[in-house]
Amino acid sequence: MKKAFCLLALTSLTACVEPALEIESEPASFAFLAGAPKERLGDGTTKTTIRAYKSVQDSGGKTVRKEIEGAKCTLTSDHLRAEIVTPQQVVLPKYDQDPDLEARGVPPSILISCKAGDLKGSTLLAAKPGQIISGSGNLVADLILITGSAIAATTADWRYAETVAVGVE
Amino acid sequence: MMWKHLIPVLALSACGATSIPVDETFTASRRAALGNEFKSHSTLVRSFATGEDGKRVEVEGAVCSASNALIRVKNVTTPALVKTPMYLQAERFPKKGKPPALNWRCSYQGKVVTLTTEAASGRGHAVTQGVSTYNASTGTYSQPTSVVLTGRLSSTLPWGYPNVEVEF
Repeated sequence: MKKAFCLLALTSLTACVEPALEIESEPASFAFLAGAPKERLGDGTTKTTIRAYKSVQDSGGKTVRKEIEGAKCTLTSDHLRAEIVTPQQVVLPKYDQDPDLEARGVPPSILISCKAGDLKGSTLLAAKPGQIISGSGNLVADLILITGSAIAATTADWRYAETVAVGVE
Repeated sequence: MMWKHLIPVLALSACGATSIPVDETFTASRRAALGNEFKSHSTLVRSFATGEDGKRVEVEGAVCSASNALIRVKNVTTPALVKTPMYLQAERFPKKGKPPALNWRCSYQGKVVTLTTEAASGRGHAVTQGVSTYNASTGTYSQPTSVVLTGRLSSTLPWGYPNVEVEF
C-alpha cells in the first residue's frame, strides 16, 4: 500500500513523500482543572491533531522527517491536562474573548511533551483568535467573512490550532 | 591587534550603517535549572563605539561575559549569537516562570561596560502552531486567513533574553 503510494507520488511529483499515518483511535478528551476559570470557556470545542516526527537520513543522505506511531504525549496548561498517543486527535476547549481581561482573555499556552522510547520533544500550542462561523456551511462565504473582517478577530473566540507536529530527537 | 579594530571601522564608514556579519554562535552553559526551561533561542550581542567623527559605529572584538543564577556566558567576542534557554510562561510557575535578569560585562579597548537585561516574552520569536506561524514581534499570522491581533499573546509565550547592544 505504502509502496503504491510512493510510486504514485514518484510519477506525479518525482518525490516520494510518505503519507500521514492514519488515525485509528478516538479523539482524547481533556480534564479541566478544578481551580481553572470555567466561566471563560466558550461554546463548543475544537479538535487538534497531534503527530510526532523524528529526523532520519534518507538513502540520498538527506535529512527527512519520519512520522512516529505510538509516541506518548502529555498536554499541560494552567487550566487543563490531556494525554494522547500519536497520531491522535485531542478535544480542546474554546475560550471567549473578553475585552475586560488582560490580553482579551487569551488562554494559556499548552505544552505538548512527547516521548517515544529514548526520543523526546516538546512544542508549545498557543491559542489564536478563532474564525467567525457563519453557520452557512458555505466555505467561500465563510472565508470572505473571515478575511474581510478585522472585527472578527476581536469578537471571535480563542481556540487552539488544528494540527500540531512535535519533533522528537 | 590594532588593525582588527581599525578595519571594521573603515569598512563601516565606507558603506554606511550596515551590521557586521555574525559568524560565531556560542551556547550559554547552565548552572542551575528553573524547571520550566523550553527550547532555546539566540540572543544577538553587538557592540558600538563613537568614532572620531562623532558617529556611532558598530565595532567588533568586544569581549562579553554574562551570568545569573541559572546560566553563564563566558568570553564571547562581538558580534556574537549566544544560544540561551527560554522559559515557559504560565501561572503554575512562581513569578509566572520568569527567569532572573542577566548581568552582562563587556570590555573593549580597556573600557568596561556592565548592563543588565530582563527576560521578556512575545518579542522576536515566532511560535509555530501547525500550519500557521505566529510572529510575536509583528502580531501577525502566516496564514491565508491571517488576522492582526489587537490583543497581545505575549502573556502566554515563553520568556527569553533580549538582544544586547553595548555602547563603548
